[in-house]
Amino acid sequence: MVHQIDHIAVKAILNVLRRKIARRTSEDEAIDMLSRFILELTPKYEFLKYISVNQTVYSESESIWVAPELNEVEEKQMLSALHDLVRKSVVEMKEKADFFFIREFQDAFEDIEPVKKTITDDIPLNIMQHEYLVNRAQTLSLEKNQLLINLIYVLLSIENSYLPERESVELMKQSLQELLPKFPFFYSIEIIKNPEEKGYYTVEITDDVQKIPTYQFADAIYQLILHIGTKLQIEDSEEYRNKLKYKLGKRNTELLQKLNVPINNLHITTSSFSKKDILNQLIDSLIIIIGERTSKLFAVAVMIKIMGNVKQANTLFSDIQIQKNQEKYNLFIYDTIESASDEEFRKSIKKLIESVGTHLGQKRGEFISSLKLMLGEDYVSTIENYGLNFHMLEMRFD
Amino acid sequence: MVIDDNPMILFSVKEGLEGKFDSYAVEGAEGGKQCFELLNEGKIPDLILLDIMMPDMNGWDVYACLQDDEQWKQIPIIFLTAKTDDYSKGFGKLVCEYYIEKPFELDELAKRIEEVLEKKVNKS
Repeated sequence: MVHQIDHIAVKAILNVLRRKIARRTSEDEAIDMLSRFILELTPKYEFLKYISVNQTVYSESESIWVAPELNEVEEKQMLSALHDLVRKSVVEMKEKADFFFIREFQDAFEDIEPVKKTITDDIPLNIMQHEYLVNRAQTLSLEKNQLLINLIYVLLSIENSYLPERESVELMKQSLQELLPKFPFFYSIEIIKNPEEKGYYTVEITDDVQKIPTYQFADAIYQLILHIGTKLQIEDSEEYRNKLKYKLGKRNTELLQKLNVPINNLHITTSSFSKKDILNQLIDSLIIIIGERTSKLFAVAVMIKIMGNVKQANTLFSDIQIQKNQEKYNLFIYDTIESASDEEFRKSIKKLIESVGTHLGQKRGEFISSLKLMLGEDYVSTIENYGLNFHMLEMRFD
Repeated sequence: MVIDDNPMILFSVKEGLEGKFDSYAVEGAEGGKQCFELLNEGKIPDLILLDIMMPDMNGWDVYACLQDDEQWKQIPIIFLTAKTDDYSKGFGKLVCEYYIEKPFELDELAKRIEEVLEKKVNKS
């Protein structure tokens, strides 16, 4: 029996699935999950007994073992079993199996023929992805308006623990105004004082926010939470996160997580870095990351080249000069950079990060994670205050 | 110019390319030091095929040092390497014309060289 997908290919597919699950949970959990799925599906597909998934102390990739006897099984049956296995993973992981899980799973086979073709043609990942999007869209479209209203009430209530009510409302209005250039739909949010009841405010959304793309809506929510936290000069980010989650309640918190709003990683900084500080830290971090994987000299040369390229499209980079100085480098950033608009600054930073990560293939998400780590929480938070959402960048890069 | 610490690669690339194209003259350098000696002698190539994993001076550093000279930094680079991890490929591609992984097919290499040289001619 000639198979397009033999036992080696099945092992490769299972290993990709293991890695993608592990990325969202943990290596141990991924192995436990796959092992359980195989057991649960064995009554339906007896041949799954030729697959064994176990924890191993030797190597993660060897935790999956597939016997060559599997090659005797009819391919259609094998594909059906694989389909059920992927579906079970998506269902089990619930909101952790986001849109990107299925896409990443599919992308992982880009270079593996004929697995790629089979995965694309015979396991309807696209349909699964579509089902996922439709299900999520249906849930979210019903609740986007209400979620935004609830969030504003919660933020007002948190503000109110630091400020009098009137100032809390003013701070919210001011924050919405400041974020308006990036999120024009904030225009439709009205915080009205109810004349009937003294000191009682109501939040209304005059326009329909359902039509706002989900990623943009999620970004707006995240930026608003961050903005308010920064304005309040919150020193304990964990307390802020917990307050938010407690006041939002389980349902709203789950919705935020479904939207990929990184509420659990929210960090408010009280540091006030200048644009120059941020660029210094960013360029140093990028040089370290590139240098660790190539050489320090090369990293500096790459950054000089990238700066030269982006300078043409973005004049802000004309205020930056990197000079190689034997084994070291000198970074000159002119003070004029402080006069750049926040929007221009955000775009420039984004452009710089994207330029470095552009050819990294599947490592792009990992690259953003390393960059966040290298920048440090305070810098990440300050950059996010300019409107660059690292989480979104990471997800999109993935 | 081909820069590689493996004499077999130097030999096969030189013989292969010169045999394939009458107009090609391939200069070999066994490492960064020899490459810069040749450049300092005024032997400026149209293109450099650069290995990465070399003793003494690796290909990353060779690239970086080439950037210190206004004339040398104009030389197009093709990385020809056994370094196949995503980071090396990703960062290498930021500066080179092509990133070719070893083992390679001579025809494929020749095709890429022709493309780069053609691009260089059109640019000038």
